[in-house]
Amino acid sequence: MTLVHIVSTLVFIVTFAVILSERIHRTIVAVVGATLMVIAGMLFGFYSQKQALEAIDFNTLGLLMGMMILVRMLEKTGFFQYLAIFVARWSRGHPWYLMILLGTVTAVLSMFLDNVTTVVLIVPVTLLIAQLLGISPLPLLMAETLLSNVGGTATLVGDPPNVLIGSAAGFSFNDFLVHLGPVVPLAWLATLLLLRVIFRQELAQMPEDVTAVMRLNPADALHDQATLRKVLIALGITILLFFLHGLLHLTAAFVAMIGAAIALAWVRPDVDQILKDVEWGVLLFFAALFVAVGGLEAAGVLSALGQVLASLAGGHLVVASLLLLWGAAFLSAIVDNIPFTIAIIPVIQYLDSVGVPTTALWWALALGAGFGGNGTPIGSTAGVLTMRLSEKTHTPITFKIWQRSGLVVTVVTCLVASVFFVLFFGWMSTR
Amino acid sequence: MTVGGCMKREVMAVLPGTTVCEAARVLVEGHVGTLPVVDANRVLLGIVGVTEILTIFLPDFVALLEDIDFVKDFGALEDLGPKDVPEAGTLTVKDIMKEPIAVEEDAGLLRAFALMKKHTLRDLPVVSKDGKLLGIVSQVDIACGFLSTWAENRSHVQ
Repeated sequence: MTLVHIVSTLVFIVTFAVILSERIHRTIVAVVGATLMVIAGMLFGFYSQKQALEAIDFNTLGLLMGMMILVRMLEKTGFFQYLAIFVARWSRGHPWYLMILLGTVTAVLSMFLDNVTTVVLIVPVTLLIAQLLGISPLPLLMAETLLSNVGGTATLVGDPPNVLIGSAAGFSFNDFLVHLGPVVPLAWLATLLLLRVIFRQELAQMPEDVTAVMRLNPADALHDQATLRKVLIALGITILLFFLHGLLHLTAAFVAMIGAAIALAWVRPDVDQILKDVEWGVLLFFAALFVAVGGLEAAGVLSALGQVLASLAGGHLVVASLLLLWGAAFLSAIVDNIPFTIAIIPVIQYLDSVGVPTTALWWALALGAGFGGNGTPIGSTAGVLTMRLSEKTHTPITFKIWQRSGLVVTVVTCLVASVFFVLFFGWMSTR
Repeated sequence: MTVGGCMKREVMAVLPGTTVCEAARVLVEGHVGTLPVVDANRVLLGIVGVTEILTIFLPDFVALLEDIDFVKDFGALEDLGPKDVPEAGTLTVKDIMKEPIAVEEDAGLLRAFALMKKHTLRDLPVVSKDGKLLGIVSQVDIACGFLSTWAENRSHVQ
């Protein structure tokens, strides 16, 4: 181990540890860590300013930004409330049907839109429906939060780790659908069945009177139907282009920006307002982490780590994939899965460069990082926000409630993914 | 005119340990909207009004949803009583009271009204220099006090 290895690892570990301690805002820590990494790189000659700039994955940033602009425009139209009320009426207030429908709507929305936005918009209207019916909102809120993470795992754009993986591995939107598409519905089914058992008491409580919910008119929840139509068409074009982007040789970021451009040009909203709501802090966090990890890569630390892993994983790819899946799930449950994913990506890229077949490893990482976030309330941003919202209510989600539902769901969905992996390893190893 | 000239001097007040149910009874019996909360020496500690008490009964979604115009019917929620909201039985006035916004007797009417508007109060306690409750003045009291002088001036002009 050289001095350069030690210095770059030290800067990275300290940055990582402070991010995970959550004492200081993660974006501030990442920006300071990235700056220190570049300074160290210049002093010790392992990392230049030019290399730092090149380390930033603008495909990830562009994709996230484009989708953020689209979702900010969509959220103001009342579309999420519309969908929730629509399915609530359809369920006729039956708690089990309501859980299936609201959970599934959230899962499908999370496949294409940011999980956090979906949950933040669907949770308040779920409380409305549960309170009008006089039933417990807990199973509904848990189903929505857990399924938003499960649904998000299915697509390239569903979850930040997938965005990162897709960009690094060069996987297209369809690659994700084809490989993770079969696992996610199984995990969705497992989640709903488990919640059915775990919350059997709450779900057995039938509403006395459903008139108040049946009197809700979904159309009344829409603020601006003209804007909604335009944004939905822009989003539809975006999703269509995602299906074709591999074929058309368009990057995912460019597709998202095309969608944002169409929506902005057509709706012509108050741009300052829309851009104010774009999460610049998240984008800066990503950029800074790319710079920090880039330093580690330039110092040769990640290739050294990769060499060790290559000798271990070389002959046992199934075992290596499963270890990565469970390791990623465990880490995603206890810490933020974004820094972990950004750090592990160059290691897998190194394995790829020395001839280790890595396709299965990428999918294992995506599944572990996606499903693992459900393990604890702090494992995913969607979970953190649902807890925060539910604390303001008469029926807060406690850590104990999360343990007996979220943790169980995580273990079972990871088991489902593992079994699928072992049975269809050949399929998961090809593009 | 000053606040002292139009305030009500007979004012019902409650102690901080009073239960919300008891405070609700005092409000209903006196048919008033605001109760000053005082200590044993009648020093003003806070204000509790119908808004604070009714808010306990508001369903959670009201605070979380930006728009509730589309909810045409609150259904069974309309029939909630203290038994359905366990907090109503255990909470005391101290738990829900607002900060003690008050004026002294010699305060001007316009300043008193400005304070009420800023703090969304319907009634404003009036206190002595050492913070003891002397009376209470409502928006209607202030409006009548203020507008009567205005009306006099107008008739004078005419």
